[in-house]
Amino acid sequence: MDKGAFLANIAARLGREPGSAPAPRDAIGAPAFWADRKTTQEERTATFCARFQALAGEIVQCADEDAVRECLDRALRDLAPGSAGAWGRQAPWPVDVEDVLERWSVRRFGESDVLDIEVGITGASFGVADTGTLVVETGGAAGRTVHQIPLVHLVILRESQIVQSLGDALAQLRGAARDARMPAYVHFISGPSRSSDIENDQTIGVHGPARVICLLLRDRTADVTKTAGDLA
Amino acid sequence: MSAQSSVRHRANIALRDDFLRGAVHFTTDRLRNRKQAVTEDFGNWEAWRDRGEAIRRHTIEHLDFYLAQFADNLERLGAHVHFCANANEALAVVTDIVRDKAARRVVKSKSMVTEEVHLNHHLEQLGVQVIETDLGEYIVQLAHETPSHIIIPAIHKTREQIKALFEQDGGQNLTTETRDLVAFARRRLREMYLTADIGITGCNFGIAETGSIALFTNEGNADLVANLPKTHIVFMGMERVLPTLADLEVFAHLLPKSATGQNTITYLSMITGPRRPGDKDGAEEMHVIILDNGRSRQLGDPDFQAVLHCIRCGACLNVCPVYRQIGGHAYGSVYPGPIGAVLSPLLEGGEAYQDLPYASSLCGACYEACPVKIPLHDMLVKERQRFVAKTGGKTGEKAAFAAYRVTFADHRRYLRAIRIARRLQGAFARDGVIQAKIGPLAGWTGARDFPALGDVTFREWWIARKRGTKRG
Ligand code: SF4
Repeated sequence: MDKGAFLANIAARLGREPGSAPAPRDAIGAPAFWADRKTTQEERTATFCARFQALAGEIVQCADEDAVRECLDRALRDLAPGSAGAWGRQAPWPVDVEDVLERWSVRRFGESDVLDIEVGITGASFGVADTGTLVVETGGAAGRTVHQIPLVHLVILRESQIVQSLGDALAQLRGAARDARMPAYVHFISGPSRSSDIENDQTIGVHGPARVICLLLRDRTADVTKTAGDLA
Repeated sequence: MSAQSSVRHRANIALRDDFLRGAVHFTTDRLRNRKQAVTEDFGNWEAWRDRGEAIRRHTIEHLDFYLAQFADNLERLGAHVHFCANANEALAVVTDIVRDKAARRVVKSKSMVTEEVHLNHHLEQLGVQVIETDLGEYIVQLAHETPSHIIIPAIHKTREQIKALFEQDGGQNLTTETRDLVAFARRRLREMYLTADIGITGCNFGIAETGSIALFTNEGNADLVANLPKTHIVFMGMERVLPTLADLEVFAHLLPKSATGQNTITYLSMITGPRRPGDKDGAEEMHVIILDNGRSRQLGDPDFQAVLHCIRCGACLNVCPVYRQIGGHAYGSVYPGPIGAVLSPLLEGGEAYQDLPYASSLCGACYEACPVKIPLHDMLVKERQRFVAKTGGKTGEKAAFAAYRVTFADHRRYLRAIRIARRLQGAFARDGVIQAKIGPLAGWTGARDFPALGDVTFREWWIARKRGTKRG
């Protein structure tokens, strides 16, 4: 059916002038009691860690950038995967881990095939405290398959990237969308892949990763109080 | 085994099948209890419901505007948007894409709208292999059945049955351990994603201001379906839009909390058009099929427009005393439970499913559970009234409605009436189902049965439950 006719039918049913803009509304997004909460970075980080771990996500706390590299190195040694893959060099890495990736001959997205990797290494754009969620924006060298294919997802996140609410993260994505920079694919990840489709028996790693390990860089410099309003 | 005989058969045995009944009770109890816990912990649940309702109401009241904005944004991003008035138009669009791509294999993630248009059957007739990748849907597909719950499709299958199905699909040395079964499904379905020509997903919400498709999943299959094959087709009901990304936050809380009692969904995927120049993975071509199929008829109808507010969470199923007794298949419609009893006759129009609104005890538990406050119980009554008005109504029915008006004004009278109804129906009900004749949907199935009132009403059950849990 033609788009114009389809929409005209809807407008006619609603008794509306087709395509006329709605009057401004007050109820947009989360209620004020939620959107206007003031929290400190310390509180946001604590909530994020508790929520993410409650969802069977794993967190490794790293005091500085060297610690992030050491932890990644140790993780690759312990996991000893048959094959590992990571975002390409041009991707927005929160911490420079090139040395480690080179030492372990990790396959780089865009240069070699990652469709059979067992461990995938990426950065993230945000952590969301309310839901224990990692937000991974993809595009270019930050391939989407890098974290969807493997059994283990290693994610690097800076503490200063942790926001309070989904609304806070969405507000920043929306800012990007205004300049037409919103990526084609953004993934909100809250722990490992799960299903209870077999006799209600909770199980992990059905299609996505069975382990999600977040290497968290504690880079908090000061207690910044932020709200969605400040971020928009 | 034909679909017709299996559905009829199942409706008849639903109440004799101990496992099914146990599984439905156990699962719905569990989902409901978890929902209660998570919403209490979250707090201000009524304020969130109010906000959810306000956003859905505003969106549907201005649907032409938001749908146009959504489609314009998608087209600007290079996606193809198809507006389809009915199932046949949607299937014709799919046929064209399949022919154009010379597609042999299609992978799918869960989508009720594709069930509504009987997409799988259509694809098979085109000679295309269709693989459902949601674990529960995959199990149901291997068994040649249809989903029995909109959130947990294989609620009625035992692990022994699942093991047998996987063995038929090539599984070797399997045990009945969940881990083993899941590992087989993961391996098997990986081959499918990597060799499929087209991936088909549903759409939980379309964001008008950005043209984004928001998908909620726990398994991660929708991401592989959307990203690995070269072509991605999205199926969505035309009501599934939200104005802004900010609005998505509200539903990212309401949906998983209501559906499964999870504080958050494991994966929320936001797909905004096909892959961009410079992207090295993701579908190259994206088609979005926006389906009316009876929905626009509800617009402007003061009694039923709000049915389009539904976010398909399934919470109304989990609290419904009728659904809990008989499970999803006995409804015979694509959408089961209270929402199915309201929606199926509305979407289909005509005579089909006119008996479904009677498959309810009108206890109102569905309204209480609904995260966007759809007055399902009122709608069921209004559907009955319209049906009676249209057919003239038999004398007995008229009397029943007169009595009904009196009865429902007072809850003690209601309780008495329910008890009487339960005794009266004994003459007609056998094995817990009232044999009734309902019109078929597009040749999918023939006659099926209607649930009798349960032995225990929701109210009775609720009171007993409260007493039982008053230990401290
Ligand atoms: S009617 Fe309400 S409770 Fe039922 S599925 Fe729709 S949104 Fe959920």
